This record gives sequence, structure tokens and C-alpha cells, in this order.
Amino acid sequence: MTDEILRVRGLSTRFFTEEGQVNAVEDVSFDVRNGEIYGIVGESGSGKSVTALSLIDLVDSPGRITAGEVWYRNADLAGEFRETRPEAVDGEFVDVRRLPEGVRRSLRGPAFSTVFQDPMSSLNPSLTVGEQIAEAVEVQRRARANPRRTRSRTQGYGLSNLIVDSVLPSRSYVSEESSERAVELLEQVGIPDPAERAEEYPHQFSGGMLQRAMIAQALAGEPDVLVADEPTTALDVTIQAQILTLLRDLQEREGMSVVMITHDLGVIARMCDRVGVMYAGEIVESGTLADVFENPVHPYTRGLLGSIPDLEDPAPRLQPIEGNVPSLLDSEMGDRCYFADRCPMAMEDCLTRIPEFAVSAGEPQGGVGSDLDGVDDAAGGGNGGAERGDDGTEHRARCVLAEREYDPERALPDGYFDPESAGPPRSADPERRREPEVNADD
Amino acid sequence: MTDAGDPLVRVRDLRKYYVEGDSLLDRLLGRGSRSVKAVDGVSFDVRRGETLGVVGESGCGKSTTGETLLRLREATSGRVEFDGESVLDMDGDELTRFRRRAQIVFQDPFSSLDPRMTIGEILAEPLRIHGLPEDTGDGRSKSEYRRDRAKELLERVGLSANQVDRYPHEFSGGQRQRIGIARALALEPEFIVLDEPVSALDVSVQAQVLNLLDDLQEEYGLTYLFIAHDLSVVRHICDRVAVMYLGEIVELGPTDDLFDDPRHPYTRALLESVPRAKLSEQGRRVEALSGDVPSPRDPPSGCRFRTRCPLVIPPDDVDIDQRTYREVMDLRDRVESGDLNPDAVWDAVGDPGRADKPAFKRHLREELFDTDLDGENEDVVEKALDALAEGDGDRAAETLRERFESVCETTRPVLQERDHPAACHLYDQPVEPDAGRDEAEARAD
Ligand code: SF4
Ligand code: SF4
Repeated sequence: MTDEILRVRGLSTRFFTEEGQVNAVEDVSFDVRNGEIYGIVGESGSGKSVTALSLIDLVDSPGRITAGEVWYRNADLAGEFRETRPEAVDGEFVDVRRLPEGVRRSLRGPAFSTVFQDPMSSLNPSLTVGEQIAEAVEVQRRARANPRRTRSRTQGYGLSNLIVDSVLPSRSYVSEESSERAVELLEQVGIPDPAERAEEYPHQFSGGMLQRAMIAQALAGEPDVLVADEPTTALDVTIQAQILTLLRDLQEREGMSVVMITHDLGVIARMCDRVGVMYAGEIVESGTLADVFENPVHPYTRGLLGSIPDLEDPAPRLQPIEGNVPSLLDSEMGDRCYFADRCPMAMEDCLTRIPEFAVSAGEPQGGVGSDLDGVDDAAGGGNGGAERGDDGTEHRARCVLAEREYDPERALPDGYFDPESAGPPRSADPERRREPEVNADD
Repeated sequence: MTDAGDPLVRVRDLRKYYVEGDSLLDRLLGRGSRSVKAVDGVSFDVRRGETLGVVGESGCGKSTTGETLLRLREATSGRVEFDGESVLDMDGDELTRFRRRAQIVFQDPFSSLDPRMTIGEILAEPLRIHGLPEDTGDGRSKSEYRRDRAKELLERVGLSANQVDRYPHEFSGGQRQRIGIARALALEPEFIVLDEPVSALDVSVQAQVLNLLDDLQEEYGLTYLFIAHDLSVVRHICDRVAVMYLGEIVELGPTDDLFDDPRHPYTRALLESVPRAKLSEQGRRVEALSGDVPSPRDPPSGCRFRTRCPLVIPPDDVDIDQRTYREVMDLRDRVESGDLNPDAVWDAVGDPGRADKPAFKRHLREELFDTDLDGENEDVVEKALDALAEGDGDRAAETLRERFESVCETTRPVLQERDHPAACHLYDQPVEPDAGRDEAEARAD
């Protein structure tokens, strides 16, 4: 398996808030292959968006990536750092998080680019759309000529930028060539009269057109990986259809890889080749679309699928998941399967942390690998070349049911997790088996 | 659900226009005020015990319809009857009585509950406002009665009675929506407008709330008007569905009929667009509608969907491929709306001297046409492009209109009197669609 562009291993992101430590992303591992659309689906609080930010190194205080590696395939970079930073290189891959800050930043654009739900978060209201895209082009041009020094003014746009932008005229910054390229990009993303629209300001664009403009901006650096975080969630369904079609066309034409992050299983189904389902900061199930939609193992995945009304074949009654979205406060998470309090199949075995298991093809089998005491062994240890799973299957789930059948004998009694009942203490166990936290910025 | 149930709510030709551009700034800038036709003549019945869905995209007027028929907004014109009485004419006691019988649940469970009130107070408030109970009859004080009622309501919506003294912020989104529903139930209404009640919720929680709404309807014989943009949810919960576009109902019918046999091209496009959460969805290429919804400030004449409709009807005597016709109509739209700026085209062809007309025309053709024109159609388009190249937009518009004008732009289609009507010229329309004709002509002047 050498066709990955990205190998994410053991990524953890925490927020250190007044209420306590929030474990937003916990030990997340996945691969993104060349030219595929990899989907990450989850509900609010599942950690999917923080995963996106962590991938592109945009987590802001009080959040911090505390562990994990993001291996990005780039033979040139690997060659460049093989001698000086051997720990950051594995074959053709570099661990982006171990590269010097300046290099990491210079990868935004040509390596990774992003599209968010809200276009106004990446477009500056006081510049014309054309200027901003031209600027993104310009930054990439200069970056290629003089790597890792420049930074677009529209990245992480904030008040200080606004002040700077209103003082400095921006046109001088942008070459004729870049402006022309901007119009080309606008045309590529299906904006009619691109030359004219380039002269307009973001507020003159409709929601769908803004989304297109943001995609054009993201394409300026010809990225290898486009991270799209809920790119169509704010849009009406007919406009969503346009944008999804556009993303697919661009992905095919440019041969990019896309990480598509969404709460919408329908969007996942239409767009993605493989998918990871997130719950409470973890990827609880992953595999091909067929694995996850046709053979879901994790009761959360099954619950999600059962919760969605079917457009073509409505069931008389939905099968919701009982309970509520979990707390991600470290002190409240408990040392067990995070889904256990909502899981209709929770057993005694589920009261420890559950590693990721490869889902066996046939009947779930008992016995094999049933040692639940081990820490997560799937994420590999610092080696970007580590294969996922030992048996080659990519359908994986963080659930004992991947390995053994449900045993009613061992089921937890009803109400086990109710705060009033005599359940287990929900506070953190000091002896929790967690990987030691690593300061990401070291 | 009573299929042949008589209507509890009858809405006829309801309109809600807003006046916009009336602010001080607008006046200073000399902008004229204009009306926004948020709801422009909708008619429907809600039958006793049924759930009528109103579905459409943002800005179609669905929420305004719900709020206007409850008199949370003042209607511009039209008629609303509730149990035979005219809602828009009610005042005093009559109106108070109506407000007891008809309730609303809003989308946003976060902003619709007062954060300073306990849940008990929130649920008691409607009773207090209506001076209820008149007499507890059992020695309890009125406030005890209300508190007990609040607990009862909490249990009924799946929360626990001992949460009565908590504050809204202590609840999750799904729980708050349950509280919103409990509050709507407090006065034992017959009719509830549910305005996007599950849109802000995660799907797993959304399913719980949908099941709850189902149960409550069954238990109390409630009638719902369910406003939503999510077609899967609508299919799941509604008995009949009205589809809205730009302030009008374009199709209405029993849910299964409408979803299995959608008639209006807009309904079809909506259904086509929805991503299904199924393996078979993988890689499905959707014939997406092009363009955006036009502004309700200046809606298109005739059929409001005509600027995006893939089936817009060519004149009888024009032989033209459907896709080509759509492209011609897009060209016309842009010429007529002034969207097409010849200066920009000259810039794009790099000829600010405006000499190279063939290049100008080539550029436009490349941009606008994927299909091939021929015969008379080709000649007329060529003439129009000539006019554009000469800077005469009006003549271009006129040339195109003469040949290509569609019934869809001259005549406003109406809903037929039947079980599953569609406001579209592809389905038989009354011979004298007077209202539509007048309006279209007035606009053309
Ligand atoms: S590990 Fe146990 S509690 Fe967790 S999802 Fe699987 S069956 Fe349910
Ligand atoms: S009336 Fe014409 S434009 Fe309108 S929906 Fe029907 S075919 Fe399309």
C-alpha cells in the first residue's frame, strides 16, 4: 500500500478551557489515498471539525495538538530533511508536525488547502473577490520562487489584518498574471462572467457563488489535499448539489485528494470512497462506503443509519439513538467505551477503553485478539510506514462487536449509567491508559 | 389519520409583503422603497388530525406563511379560517381563544427559551398569561397547579419531572426542543405550527424528537403544519406536502404521490438533489439546477421557476432542442436583466476598440452555449449577438423575445382543483388564467 498521500497517526487535540480539559480529538488515525475523497462523518461534538483544523495545523489557543503524526507524501521534502531531521522522514513521507514551523506554513496552499462552511471566514469583506484570489495565487507563486516565507493575508483573517488591509492598497501586491489566473479560477469553479464578478465584493455574491469563490481561492495553490469542512451545510439542497458536483469535477480534473468532513451521511454516500465515523473525538468505525453503509459493526454507526428518514422508502418509525451527545470534558469521559452509555448492546467488556479492531469478514469470532487490556495497537508507534491492521482488512471498528458476538448474559443492566443509579463513578480514573501527551510544538 | 377530514385551517390567497428600503439610510441614499413578496398568494387546507408539510429552500416564504397564518405577523391580504372563523378578523377574546388553540414551535431551541427562567416557569407562563387555571378545584393553589402541570408536561415529552427547577442552559439542544414542545402543549392546543423543529438537531436526536411528535399527535389528536427544508424528514412525518418556491406553492399532494410522482419541475429538481444516505448514492451524478433563486424583490414574470427550469416550454412553432432552449433563455435573462455587460466581454476578448465583432460573438457563444443552434434559431441568435456587439441591448432583447417568448413567462401557472395539483404549464391549466395574464402584462409595460 503505497498510494497514500496522507497517513494520519494517533492524532490528539485537546482544549484547555476554564471548565477543564476537553478531549476534542482522541487518537485519530486514517489514510487518505491519492485522488480519493475520504469522508469523516459525525455529529456535533464528535471532533470532526477539530480533526480538520488539526490536519492543517490551524488549531488555535486554548486548543493544542497534543500527540500524533501527519505523514504527507512528498519525495522532495523527504529528501530535503532526510539528513537534518531523520525523525521527520519515512521513505517518501514527511511528518508535517515535525517539520520547522516555516516549512509547515508554506505547505498551506500547495499541499493542503481548505474550504469551510462559512465562506466569510476565509474571504475579506473589504477586498474584491478577484483581488483575494489573485493574492492567493501570488502567494503561491512567490512561495514557489522563494519557499516558506510568505503568507496570504486572507489566511486566518482577523482584525489586525483588516486594519492592515484598509491601510495598504492591495493591488500593488498582485501581478497582472495573478489577476488573470484569478479570473481563470473563477471560471473554473463555474462563476458566470468571471472577469466582471472578480471586481465585486463578497457581499455581492450569493451563498452558492461565495462557496465557489472560496473553492477557487483554495485551488490557487493547486493543493494535493483539499480539506472541505461542511462545505455545503449552509446551502440549500439545489445549491448543495451544484457545489458537490463542482467539487467532484475539480477533484477528478486536478487529481486532488479531498478530505470531506460533514454531518450528512447522504453527502458522504454521494461523494466518498472511504469513510471514518467519529464519535466523542474518536474514529469509531472506518472502511469503504460499502463496509460502513452495508455492514456497520459499531452500534453508533448502526444507530446513525437508523436515525435517518429514508427518502424513498419511509419506515413507519425511526430508530433513534437514545441519550445525548456526550461530554468531551476529560473529567467526565470515563475510562470505557465512550458510547457505552447510549449503546443498546453494552456489555461488561465495554467498561474498559476499546482499541480499534479489524472487522473480521465473516461471522464475528470470539477469542481472537480478545485481550482488551492492550493499548491501542493500531496506530503504530511513530512509524509513518506502519500498515493499518495486520490482516489487510480496512474495515475497522472501536467496538468489541468487531471481534465477538453480543452476549446478552454479559449485558449491562438497564439504567447502569443513569446518574441516579448505582452505576460506576464517571470521574476520571487516575490510572487511565492514555498515551503520554506530547507537546506538539517541541 | 383522517383522510377525508374536514379542514381545521383554511388558507386562501394569503399574501405577506414587506416594504424594504424604508430606512433612514435608504432615504439618504435616495433609494426607493419596494415591496418584497415573501408570501404571494398561497392557498391550502390543513385537515383535522393531519400533518401538512410545507417544504422549500430558504427565502421561499414557508416560515412567513406559518407565522402569518398564526397572526404573529400581519398579513398583507388573504383569508385564514380556523375552525370556520376568520382569523385575520379576530380581536379581543376571540383572538385570545385562538392563541390558546393554535401554537408554534420554533427551530432554534437556544434562542426561543428565556435563559433567566426555570423550566417550570417557562412551562407555567402560557397558563399564567391566559389566566389559567380559572379554578384548580382541588385546593391546590394556582401556582401549585401550574407547577404540577409543568412536571406532567416534562414527563410527557420524555424529560424528568425533577428537572423542573433547572435552567435552559443546563439542557442539550434536543432536550431544549422537547421543552419548546412541552410549552406549546401547555394550553392543550389543537393545532401546532412546527417551524423547522428538528433542523438544528443532530440526526440521532432529531429522530427522537420526530418520534415524540408522532406520539403526541396520536395521543392528543393534534393537527400539525410542519415547515421544513429537509425532504427526508418531510416524507417521514407528513400526510400531505406543499412545495413552495419564491413565495408560491408550486405543488401540493399526498406525501407518497408527491414523492413517488413529483410533477412540478422544481419538485423534481429538489428530490433529485437530495443526497441519500445509501450505498447506491455513491458517485450519483445529479442534474443540478443551475443558477440561484431570483430575488423576491423582483420575481420573474409568469412562472417564477422559469429562470431555472430545465423544462421551460418553447413556443409551439419553434423547433428546438430542450437544452438549447434553456441556453437561449439564459441568454435572454442576462440580456434583459442587464447582467450581461458588453464592456466586460470586450475586455475579455482584449479588444477595447470594439472592432472585432466576430471575436465578441465567439466569446459569448463559447460562454453561453454548449449545444448547437441551427436554422432560424441560429439566425435569430446571431442577429441578437450582432445587436449586442453594436451595443444595442434593447434590440437584442427584442429580437430574442420575438422568436423565443415562452408561455412560462407570459402566463402565471396556477394550481388545479384536484388532489395533487402542480402550478406548471406542462399540466393542463385553466383556459383563462386571468390573474396570471394580467399580472404578466402589467409587468411587461
Ligand atoms: S464497545 Fe460495547 S458499548 Fe461500545 S459500542 Fe461496542 S458494544 Fe457498544
Ligand atoms: S410553467 Fe414552465 S417554467 Fe414553470 S415549471 Fe412549468 S415548464 Fe417550467
